[in-house]
Amino acid sequence: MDAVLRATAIYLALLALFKIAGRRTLADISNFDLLLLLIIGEATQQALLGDDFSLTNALIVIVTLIVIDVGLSFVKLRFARIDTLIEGTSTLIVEDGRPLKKRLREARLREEDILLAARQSQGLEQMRQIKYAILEKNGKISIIPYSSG
Amino acid sequence: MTHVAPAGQKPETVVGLIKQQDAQATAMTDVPPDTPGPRTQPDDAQQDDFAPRHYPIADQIARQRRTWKHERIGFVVLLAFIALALSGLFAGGPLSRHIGSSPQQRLTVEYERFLRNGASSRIVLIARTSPSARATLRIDQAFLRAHVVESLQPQPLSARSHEGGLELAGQADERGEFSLYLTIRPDGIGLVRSTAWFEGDSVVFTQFIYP
Repeated sequence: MDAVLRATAIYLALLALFKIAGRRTLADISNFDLLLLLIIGEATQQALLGDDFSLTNALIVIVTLIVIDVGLSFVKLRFARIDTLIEGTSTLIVEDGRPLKKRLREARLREEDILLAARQSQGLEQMRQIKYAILEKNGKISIIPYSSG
Repeated sequence: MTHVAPAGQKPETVVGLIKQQDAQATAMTDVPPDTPGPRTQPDDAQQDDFAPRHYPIADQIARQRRTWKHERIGFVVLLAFIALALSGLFAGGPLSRHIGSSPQQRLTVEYERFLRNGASSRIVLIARTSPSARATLRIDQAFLRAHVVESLQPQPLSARSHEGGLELAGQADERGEFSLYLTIRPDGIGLVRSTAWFEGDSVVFTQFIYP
C-alpha cells in the first residue's frame, strides 16, 4: 500500500511542479537543464523507494506510475477540458510579421527566442519574414514563413 | 542551379563563374524576394494582442492566459514553500526546535516539533535533582510506538518496561543534572502526543511527523 501511495504522491507533485515551471523550461534542454533533471530524478528516487530496495517494491512503483500515466491519457482523451488544463493550448505569438508582445511577455518569451526558432527551423533572418509563429503545447515554437513567390 | 562549362573552358573560369553567381545569390538573400512591404494597418481586433485568433490555429487565449496566471501564482507559492522550509516548518529550523519544561523546571525536554518519517532526529531529556542522586525518567507508550529509538546516551543504569513505555534510571552529576540524549527515527505519520515524567513532574510534547 505504501509504495502505491508514494508513487501516486510523487507523480501528482511532479505534475503540479512542472506545470508551474511552465512549458518553455523544458523545451530546449541545455546541458544544465539535463543535469537538473538528473538531480531531480535522484531526489525523487529516495522518496519513491523509501528504505525498501526489493524487486517487488520497484515493480509496484513502476506499475503504479505507468497506470497513472496511461489512465491520465485516457482521461485527457475523454475530457478536452482536462487536456487543456494539463497540456495547455497552442498559442499564436507572431501574426503577419508582428510579434504579439503582450502574449510574449505573459509566456515569458522574448522576440529573440522566436528569431532563434526561425533561424533554426526555417533559416529566416528577420521577424517580418515570419507569417505566423505558434507556441506549441510541447513548448516548441513553430514558424510558418511567407510562401515565396 | 547547374553550371555547365562550355567545352574547352578552363576549370578556373568555371570556379570564377560559380563565385560570381554565389555573390549574386548572397546579394539576393540580403533583400529576400518574399519580404513583405509595409502591411496594411491591422484593424482593432488585430491590434489587441489578447483578442482570440482563429487562423492558422483556433487558440484559446483566455484559457491560456489563465494558465500563465496560475504559473505566476504557483511560483509565488513555491517561494513561500521555500521560505517555510527555511524557517523549519518541515523539520530542522527555528520554527521546529522547541524546549518544553515542567512547571517547576525539574524536567526539560528539547525536541523538534516537526519530524519527517524515516529521518533521524534527537531528543534531550534533562532532569534536575540533588547532586549525584539517582534519577528515574519515564517515557510513555505513544512515543515508543511512533519512533524507533536508535541510540540512548548515556547508557542508563537500569531500564525496564513501564505501562508499555520505558523507565530509565541514571545518576545525576555534581550539579544535580541528569541529561539523556535519544536519537530517534520517526516511524509513524501524523500527530504524536508523548509524555515524559520525572518523579512527580511531567512534560507533554506534541510532534508532527511528515510522510
